[in-house]
Amino acid sequence: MSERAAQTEPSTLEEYQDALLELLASGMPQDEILEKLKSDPRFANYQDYIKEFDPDMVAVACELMEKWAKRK
Amino acid sequence: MPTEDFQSATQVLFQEGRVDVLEWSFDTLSDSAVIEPWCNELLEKYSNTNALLGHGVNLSPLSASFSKRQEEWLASAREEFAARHYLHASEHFGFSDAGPIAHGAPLAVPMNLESLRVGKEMLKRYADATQCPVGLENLAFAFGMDDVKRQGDFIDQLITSVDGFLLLDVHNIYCQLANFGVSEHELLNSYPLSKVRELHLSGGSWSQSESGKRVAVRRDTHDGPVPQEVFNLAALALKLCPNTEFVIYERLGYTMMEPQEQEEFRDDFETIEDILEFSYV
Repeated sequence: MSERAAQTEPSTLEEYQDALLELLASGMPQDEILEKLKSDPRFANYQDYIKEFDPDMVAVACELMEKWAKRK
Repeated sequence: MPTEDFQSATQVLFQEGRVDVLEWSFDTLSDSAVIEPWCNELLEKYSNTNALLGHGVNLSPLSASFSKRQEEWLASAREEFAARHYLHASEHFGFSDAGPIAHGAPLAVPMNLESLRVGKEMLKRYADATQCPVGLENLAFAFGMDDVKRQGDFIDQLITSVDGFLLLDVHNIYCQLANFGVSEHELLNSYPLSKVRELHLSGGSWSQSESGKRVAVRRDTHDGPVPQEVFNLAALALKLCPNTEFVIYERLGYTMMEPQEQEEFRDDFETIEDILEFSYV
């Protein structure tokens, strides 16, 4: 079994990263992105972190995704 | 950058022997791209004289899952580091490979035990592939203050696990100072400054604040001259980081197509030379 295949269950961090990039690349306004992250029960343990997100920086992240992200 | 504007801007600097060390972002060319002869000659020259640094962009060291693309990236890096002699290998703190995205600009991660575990594992793989010292560059981007205040300590824990180094990007520090209003001493001292082996300097740009919370947002776009504030920070960083060995001036390709912009680039290079002379003589 390869090193990659050994992990089968997605971790919270993996689910969070997947969801975050999906949202940032979606074209959704930053307020909506923030709301979705804050209301997602999978990320309950990350709420203290997410609630500190600065809307300006979420907007920057969206622009970065548009400019540099290569889709799979 | 293997682009014509970079070649025009830097040719005289290389001819006059003023460039002591060269950094190569070895993973930024597409598979089909051919390195121009002038660029290849420089890479061979600096490799042969023990003056070449490797700087990865697309590994995504803090991704939660280890993807096939990352596995292939590491295999490609292994080949590159076997073919040329690099003094060390760096990458960016953060992640870009997740969900629908293969790679892109690195973003901040929640600094928890899980991120620490995956980051340490990836740095070990990077060190194994390159067979040289590996380090991480501090990130300009932050979602919030937590990312700003905790990044230094978190990077320290990551690089310590591989006896690695910190690549301190001074413009990235400047971005966080401008965007989050922390003090420069407080922010610099939150990093493991004794582990800084390399500094990056660059320019950037300002974009509009969507929220109106700040006048503008500082961006690490590598497309303009170095601001005076970044030169000042570099002089301070050199005082605070006694083990700095390399200083690299970064500029994105195709961002200085006009002769005047290339002249500005050389002026900035000269200012960096002056700062280094002032710092070390």
